[in-house]
Amino acid sequence: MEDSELVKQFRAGNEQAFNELVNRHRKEVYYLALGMVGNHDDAEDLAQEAFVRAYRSLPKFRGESGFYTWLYRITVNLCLNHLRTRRVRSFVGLEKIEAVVPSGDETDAEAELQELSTAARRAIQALPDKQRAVFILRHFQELPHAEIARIMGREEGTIKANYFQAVRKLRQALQPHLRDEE
Amino acid sequence: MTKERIQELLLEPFGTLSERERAEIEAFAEKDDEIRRTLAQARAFSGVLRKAQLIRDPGPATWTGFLAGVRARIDKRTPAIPLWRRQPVLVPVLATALLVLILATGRFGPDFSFDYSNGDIEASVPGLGVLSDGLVLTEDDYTSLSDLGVDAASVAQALEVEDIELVSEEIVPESEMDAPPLMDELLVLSDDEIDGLLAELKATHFM
Repeated sequence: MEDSELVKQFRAGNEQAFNELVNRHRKEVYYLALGMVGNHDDAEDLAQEAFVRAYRSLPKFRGESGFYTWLYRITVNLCLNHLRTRRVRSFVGLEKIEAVVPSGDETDAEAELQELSTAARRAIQALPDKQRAVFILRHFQELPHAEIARIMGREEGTIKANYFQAVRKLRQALQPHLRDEE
Repeated sequence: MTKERIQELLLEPFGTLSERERAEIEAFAEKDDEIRRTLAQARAFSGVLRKAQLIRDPGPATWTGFLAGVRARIDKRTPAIPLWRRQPVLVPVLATALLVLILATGRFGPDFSFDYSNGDIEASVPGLGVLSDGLVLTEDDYTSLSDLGVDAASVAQALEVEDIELVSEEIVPESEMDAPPLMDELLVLSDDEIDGLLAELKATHFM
């Protein structure tokens, strides 16, 4: 069943239809939030909050954009808000990102992988918020630039520019690891 | 395909490239050292991000409890009890605010009314209506609070919440309520920001 049909059923009073929408989109929404904020607890919290906002706003949703576009937009905006608040309030920056801490028992290869993982997380979190959002949507969700533009409420050209800048910065930040890969 | 186009494509995720585009890139790389290097770097970048496992599944526990968590939040925010009973401290805060207004301006009667006899708080000072609905304040509310001499941060403290949200009503006009909400215009303010905003409002509107 299409999302639009579930939305229609929910608006007609079928609560189960909303549950189906949650189950259908929860992973993508969580992964988007995780990419944006960098740790599981906040990502889960924001993903759930996105669905709560959607629930409250769905009665007014006319379906001019796709449901998931609308849902992603809510998620991105919640994450941007969260990051802004976090930065202002507690100056929690990169240290809050879940770093993969070596236990001491792993092999060299595992330790290297953990180091790589932490470096990549930090590099992504160091991107400006909107560039990070665009990068996550493009690279991990593999959405077209035009769709990302609709989600972000920006011109497609701006989204492309944001994405390319993000990739360039990440390649620069991860240069030592890229050399190993090559 | 031009070299510039190839270079642009090499910034895109590999998964989004078509078979034809991949073939053209490979063919170009055979005869162009720069493209060959860029291709190697793009592959390395893609490999690093894949190995880093940035987007990991949190495990079944998260997914089994996810819907229940969403539903619990929805239920929690459906008010079954009037706000003034859930947040009784709001009553003296508003009463004090109105008293300050009366003392400061000597205004009574038609300019405002304050009534919670019907089980909910109604403070019909222009712009202050949202206070009766919870913790989201509009810019007008802030102006009114400022006008009343009330520090918004102390309202937040009295309500035992960390934030007071500021929403510009103008960004979601009635005619566009169906459009995706413009939440990036919704600001969550820190105490310092609230103080700054109030100082600014006082300076611009009331000095």
